Amino acid sequence: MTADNISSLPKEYKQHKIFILEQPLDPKFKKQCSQEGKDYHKLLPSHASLTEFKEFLQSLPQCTKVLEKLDQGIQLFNSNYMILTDYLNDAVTRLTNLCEEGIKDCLHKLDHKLTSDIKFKDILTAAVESYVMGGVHQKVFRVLCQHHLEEDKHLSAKICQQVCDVTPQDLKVSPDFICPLPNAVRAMLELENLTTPLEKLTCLKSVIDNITAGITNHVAQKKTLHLAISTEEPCLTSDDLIPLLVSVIAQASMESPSSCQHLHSNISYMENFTLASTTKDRDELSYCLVTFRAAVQFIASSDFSENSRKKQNGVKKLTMAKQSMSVSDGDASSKNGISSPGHVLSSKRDSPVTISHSTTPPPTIPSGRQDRQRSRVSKVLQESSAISSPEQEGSEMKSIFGGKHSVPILVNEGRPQTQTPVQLGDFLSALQDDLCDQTFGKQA
Amino acid sequence: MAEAGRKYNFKIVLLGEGCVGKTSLVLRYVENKFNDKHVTTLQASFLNKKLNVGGKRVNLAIWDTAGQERFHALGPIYYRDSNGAILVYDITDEDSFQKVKNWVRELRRMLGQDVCLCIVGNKTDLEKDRHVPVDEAEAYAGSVNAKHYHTSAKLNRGIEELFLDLSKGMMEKSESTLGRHHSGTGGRSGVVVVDDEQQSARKSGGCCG
Repeated sequence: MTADNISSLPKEYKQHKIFILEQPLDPKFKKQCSQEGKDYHKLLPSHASLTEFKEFLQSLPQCTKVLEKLDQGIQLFNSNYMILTDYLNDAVTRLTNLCEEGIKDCLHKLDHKLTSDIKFKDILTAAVESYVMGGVHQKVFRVLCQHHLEEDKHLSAKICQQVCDVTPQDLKVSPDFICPLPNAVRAMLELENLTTPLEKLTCLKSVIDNITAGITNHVAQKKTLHLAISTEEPCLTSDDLIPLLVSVIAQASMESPSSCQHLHSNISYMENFTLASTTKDRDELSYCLVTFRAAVQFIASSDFSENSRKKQNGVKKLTMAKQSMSVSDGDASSKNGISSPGHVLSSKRDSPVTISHSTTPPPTIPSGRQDRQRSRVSKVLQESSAISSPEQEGSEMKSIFGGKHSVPILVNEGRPQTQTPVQLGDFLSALQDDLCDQTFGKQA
Repeated sequence: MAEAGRKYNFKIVLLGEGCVGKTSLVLRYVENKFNDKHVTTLQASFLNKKLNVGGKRVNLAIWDTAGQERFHALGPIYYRDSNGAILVYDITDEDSFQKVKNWVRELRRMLGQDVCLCIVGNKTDLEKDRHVPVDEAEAYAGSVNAKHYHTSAKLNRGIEELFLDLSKGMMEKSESTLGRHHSGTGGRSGVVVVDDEQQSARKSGGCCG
């Protein structure tokens, strides 16, 4: 309560009695709540799919005529109207009018008691809008894709060539938040296949929710493992959310290049064709869209060529990047693990001063060159097995990852599961090869 | 609908350099009055706060923007259509105050006078290290038609007042602009005024009308 509120109350002390009823006194209202309630209360205006909305509208017998009229309107729009990209507003206005008329007709036909429920109105609005947009989607989206053809082509080429192997580290995500986000990637893959702007927006929200959830879990896990977190109460701000979203888009494009083919068109579609004003700016959906736009613009305007060039220069760098994607914890220590053995070993011969740096004592007076070599190899192997211990943690993470993937919602369920062991295998072998190569190279 | 049943929906953006404490400011504001379950939420980039100002319900959607310099160009995407902007600087950091000035210039250019600006000097708990003189900051705020506040997210000072004043300012502004923007399907009008809130229609809420 604010001070204002209190002062607006009457000054003199008066007693009031307030009754709070569990059920409405008028039996007519009671009936409405219990009977019609179950029809729509389970629908959420921002979470239902097009088919659910269609079923909902078709379940209202009073609205059959209205739907027929809507169908006519949709058909007319599809066959006779020509969308001009410079006059998108006109298309939007026409569709909005069609929706508004439909909603008005529905409300007119329906029981007053039902239509006085705000939640019902919200659902009806979203349902009619979805119905209309579902009907004209193909036509509208095709025009938008045509309009954004060049931009989209350019962007998707950039993502596939430069951004796809950019890691969250490269994007300067806070180290606390670096972890695999398979659910977010999976949600991202859905975007292209959805029809209505509302569905697509909901999809973006689920991407961001999954990022948040993934990171919340990750941080909680770190806390229980008593691993260091750089700040006491880490918060996910836009500074991290944007690069995380960029990396999710990049990973999705690796799984399926078509997922990033129409990013600009999708943004334009969601921005322009979310017609119902109630859902337009009010809730988190618009925030999600804006964050998504920010991430896409960041990709479009940033130069990642430096990154990808670095990657191509050394296989080692790439394996490290892969490792950091799969190994969430202790990445810094493993990096040191990789770089230090070679360094220490090579410097040992040249200058005795640096011996003090090595933690494991050198083998006692190696007799011949071959022996020295052997001892070094064994040491490297020791070290490499030490490195693989955080890696095991990584595989634990992956098992959660796999478990989550077996959730039946997934369309391409099998793929990530087969990919996981391959990735790990690659990584392990690459890591070992890499280390041995390095030592021998330095010695020669 | 009765006047009292009206609900205002405002969008507020938080702008400012990286470490000036934007996020702690908004978390302090939103969490202090929220129940415990909200505290565990990591997400701090978009937060909602419901207020009651003079009997009118106000919903604040608070958007935290990216503060790092590399994201500066993304600013317009975030502040578009906002009703209010909170520009935060660190009183111990002169440079962050200069950044605020840049933001003010940009916002006034892009959004005109329709947006309510609040300039906030945060970290007043570090008063002894102050590098931005109070007079200068207040004079500047006055010159650009913005209000100036001093806050400390750490000590929870001045934050409640800041958001309450901003809400009042936005309500006044929306009253004066509502007439102008009343019908608008293309492009968002200054504020969305909704008759009633969604949540009131949970289980039995819708029946008492």
